[in-house]
Amino acid sequence: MNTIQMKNIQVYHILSLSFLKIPDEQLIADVQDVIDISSDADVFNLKMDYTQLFIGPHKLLAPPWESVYNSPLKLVCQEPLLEVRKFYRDAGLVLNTQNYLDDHIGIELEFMSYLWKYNLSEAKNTFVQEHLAQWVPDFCNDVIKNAKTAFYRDIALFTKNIISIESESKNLAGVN
Amino acid sequence: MEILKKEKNLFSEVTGKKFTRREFLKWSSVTGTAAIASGLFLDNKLGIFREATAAEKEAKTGTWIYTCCNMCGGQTGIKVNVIDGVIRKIEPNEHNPIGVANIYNDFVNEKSRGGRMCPKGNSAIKSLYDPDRLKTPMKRIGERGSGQWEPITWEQAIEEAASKLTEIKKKYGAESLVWFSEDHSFTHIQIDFCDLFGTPNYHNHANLCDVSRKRGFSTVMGDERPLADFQNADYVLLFGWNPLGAMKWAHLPAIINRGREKGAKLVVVDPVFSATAAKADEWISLRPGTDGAMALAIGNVIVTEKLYNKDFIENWTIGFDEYEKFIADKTPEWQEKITSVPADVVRRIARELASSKSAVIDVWSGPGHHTNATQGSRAVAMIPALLGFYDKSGTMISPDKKGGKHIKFSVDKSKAQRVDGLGTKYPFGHGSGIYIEAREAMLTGKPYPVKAAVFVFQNWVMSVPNTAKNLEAIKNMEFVIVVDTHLSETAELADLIVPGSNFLERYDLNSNWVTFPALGLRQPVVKSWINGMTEYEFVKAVGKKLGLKDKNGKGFEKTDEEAMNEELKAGINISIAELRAMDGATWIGGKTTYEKYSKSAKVPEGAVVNTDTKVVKDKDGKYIGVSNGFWVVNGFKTPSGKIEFYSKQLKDKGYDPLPVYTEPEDKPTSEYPFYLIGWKQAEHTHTRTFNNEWLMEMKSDNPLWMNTDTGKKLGLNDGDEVWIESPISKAKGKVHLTEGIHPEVVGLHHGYGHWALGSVAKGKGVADGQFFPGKAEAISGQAITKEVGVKIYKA
Amino acid sequence: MKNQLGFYFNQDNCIGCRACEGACKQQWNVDVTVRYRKVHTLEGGKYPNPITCYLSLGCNHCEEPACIEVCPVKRIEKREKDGLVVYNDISLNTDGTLNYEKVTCVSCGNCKNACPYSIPQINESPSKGKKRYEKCIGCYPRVDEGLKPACVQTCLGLALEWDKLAENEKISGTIKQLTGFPDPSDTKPSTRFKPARKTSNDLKEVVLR
Repeated sequence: MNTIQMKNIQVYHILSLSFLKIPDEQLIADVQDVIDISSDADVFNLKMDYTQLFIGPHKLLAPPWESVYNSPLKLVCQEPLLEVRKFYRDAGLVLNTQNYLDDHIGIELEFMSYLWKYNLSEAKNTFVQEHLAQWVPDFCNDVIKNAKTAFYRDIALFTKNIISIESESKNLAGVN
Repeated sequence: MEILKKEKNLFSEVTGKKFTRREFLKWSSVTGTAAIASGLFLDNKLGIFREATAAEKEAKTGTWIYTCCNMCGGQTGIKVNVIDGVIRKIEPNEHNPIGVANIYNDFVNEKSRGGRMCPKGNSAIKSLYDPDRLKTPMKRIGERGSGQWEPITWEQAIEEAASKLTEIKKKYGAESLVWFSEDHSFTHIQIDFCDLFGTPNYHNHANLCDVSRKRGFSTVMGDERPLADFQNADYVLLFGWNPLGAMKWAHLPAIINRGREKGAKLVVVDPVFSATAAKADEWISLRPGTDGAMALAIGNVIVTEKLYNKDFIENWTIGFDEYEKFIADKTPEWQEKITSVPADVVRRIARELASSKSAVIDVWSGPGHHTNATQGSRAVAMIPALLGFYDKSGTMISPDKKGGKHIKFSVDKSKAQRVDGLGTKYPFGHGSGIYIEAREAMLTGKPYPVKAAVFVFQNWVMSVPNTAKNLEAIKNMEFVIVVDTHLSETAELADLIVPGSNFLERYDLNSNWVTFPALGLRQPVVKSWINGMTEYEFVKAVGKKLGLKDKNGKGFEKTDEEAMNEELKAGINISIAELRAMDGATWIGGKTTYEKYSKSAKVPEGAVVNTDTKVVKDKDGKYIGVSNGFWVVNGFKTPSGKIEFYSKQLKDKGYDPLPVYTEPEDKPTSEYPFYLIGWKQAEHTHTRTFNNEWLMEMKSDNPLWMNTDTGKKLGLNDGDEVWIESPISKAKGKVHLTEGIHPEVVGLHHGYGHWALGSVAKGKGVADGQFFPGKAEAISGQAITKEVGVKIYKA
Repeated sequence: MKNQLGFYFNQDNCIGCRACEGACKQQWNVDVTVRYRKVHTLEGGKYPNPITCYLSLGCNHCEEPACIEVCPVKRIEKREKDGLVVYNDISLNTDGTLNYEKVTCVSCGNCKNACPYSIPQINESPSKGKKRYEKCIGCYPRVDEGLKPACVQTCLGLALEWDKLAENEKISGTIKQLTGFPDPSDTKPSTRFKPARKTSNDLKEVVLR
């Protein structure tokens, strides 16, 4: 396993976690271990920011599911969910949790980490082109626009950039 | 931050691009070797995934699952196309009579044509998969209503609910908890909870809906909810009912139109040219809340012209003489002054009715939401009594209901009286309670303190008339739980909000709304996408946490499926698995039966015959029928076993035994010169469908309807902004000038004007509840949601 | 055309509930702003004898469609077998929804302008594929399976029906034009009507209501 691969496994994994988990001290420390990212707010404020962006109870400022961005009805559980689920299955995987939908940003990023880990570059390219590149820029822009903490703004910016690089450099991504 | 050369190189190597900071912020700082403790996914070879089984790898084809809709309380039969655990489409289920027809023969004849679904059912996906739905329990931070919420786990929510309720119970007694819910949806578990917790103060939606109609009919002919056989009626006369707009059962438009096609005459009495009035042969526009006067005048004509069914009156009614005397001066001319309906019109309608072979004569929530509602409904319910138009084809039919049986826990009745006066101040109130009185107790602490409130699947703040009082009442509570799918105006004020389920994610049994025994299964069609608990599961979990047990040490142990199974077994002796396997997951238990009142049977063992009235009751005191010396005749389920023109039971409790007309208490005044009323239309349910984008596209606003001539006199043009002002509130709205409303009346489609609920609902239209003083009707306790005077002026 | 299919709209039975609109949206995953089927509300008369009636319209699948010829990319076709007016640049997804990814529409609006009933509607920002005009396709994938169009299947009031035009013509009282419906002589629409029993000649469409 080379450095780039190692880095990508970790980067995608930590990004995944940062979208899946309500922030606590440990998560913040872990994120900062992997990515040099600002922590301008205390845990409480990060938690509030996360809640308003991704949980509610008010209108979500950045709904974290591909279906909402990439389907005619802008709802959860639309065609993209079935497609990514099929993608996971074709890779021999199913989601091992009931807490998240398959097309949650955190799950799709975790799948990227998996694809890096097992060096499945062709699948990764397709996955990026057909899914992440289709919605992550819009989603991240919503986070960047609405987040009240630099922490989440930076995570979104980072995510947006890494996906844009993946999608532009599909032939290079498998470098070993 | 200094970027090392080797990192710039790494970036270029990976991306094939020249490094720029803007293009890729902080890529360079990835360390690559950190130990990540937060998520343990990496410990596992496959992370958050696991290996798919062979079955899971197979391509997924769609299936159709039968269930019942619950976008409103109508419970229409539906079938749902599910692909890989996701709902693609909902279509009608022709095996369930709700959506086909309410008479058995009509159902059998029409089902091959298929069932039907209303716009709400057709838009259910937009509610189910709405990203604005509540996703996790949340606890309030800061001041009530400050809008700051902290997500907590389901376990924490259960713990929080249990500990706060325990505290309240210790401090103030169990009865200081009031509970409000929707009806016909997971009500049994909530009633059980209240019973075991020890509070008598359970309430549900019916009190806001049709309890005045229930009492109107039940005190006259013994059935709380006779159903109209529209399809076979010769004549249909509706007082303030809008079944083509405020439709509850998807078969209503079809059976009404089939009746019209066969030649039925449809007459609609309503201040508003409703969706039903628009299809009527005749629209009778009258002043709101005066329907009772018109009904009495119809009775007057039928009686004075001797057009009534003499045999029926002799055999099946009591109190006709008193009624005849009472009605003598309730002439068409007398009512004209009250209602504004021309006397000759009333006379003609009475004669037409009397010469019809059959007629549906019905009343619902138009006049039903006024301060004189029960007596008005009684006046209407007596017209079919005069003509013998009960329980015959083409009339008002007593449904033969069979279904699941609620198996209650054995508990002693709470020592505390109900806080809302049900059974005391309101001897004829309905089991759904008296919302207005409960709110009064929340405001005043009388007759005893109310300190905690639970609201389940009900937007109480917008549904109960007089919004300002609602807000204040909730603020008085020490602890408030709201269970709902969205952050409603009520949920905004809670201490704990708990996500509710969508109807496509839960169980229920639906055995109402047709005249023959039928029962449809509601079943989870998909797993909850928020991975939440159903209302049943949450209430049960809190009950378990509290350690609630009945006298036999029984507590909340069953799953909702097990509980449902038991209720089905006890009620109609089938299992849930059997029901699921039936065509359309619907059980049909018999045909529509007619003139049930005249059928007789052997007097059952242990039955007791009252020597005065000859009424036969079983050993538990439940009405069986009337003895004729040999047999027990079904009769009508009133105290006398007959239809009662004169109600001794009302008189005994201090109410007028005859259907007196009294003026609505909150009529317009010189300062507030217009009647304000509200109504419903097909696109929406109560206050709860307004975050549904499709339904809001169909109907996004509720302009104030005003008669064109009235508008002209006020110098208003269609679309003008106006102030709507009642003695207690004012708000800005747009005016719709129309020929379709009484000149003294203005009105709003109910349910709009949200300031919470969701991003689609917010800020659309005007909330009608704010304008009404919020009284309870004296007999039934019905919440009054259509009675107040307002002034209208240009904004 | 011998086998021409078409809608039958019984205005007397239409209650204006818009269930048809909802069923159509579900069937084809059509989001807000685009309506393949739309219910128009018409008001007229004078108190105390007002008139409210409705007109539920999808594509009329004209015998001589004006939209076909004016389309610069020739994406509209009339099916040989049943005369339905459909797009040739859409396909079906596996879940039965419409796939617009290879759509050739240039959004010129000619079809909408040529259509006397203004049926085609622009989908400005679709989630997939480019901006294009869309309209009712007579639910041909359903029809090919022997089903009725979604709107007809759900219709609460028995107002919408679907059959061969020749059969619809035979229903007694059938007419070719309702108040509020443009002159049918230009394109020969395949929709037939039964008028409401109460109508008036001063009907106006109301939007705010």
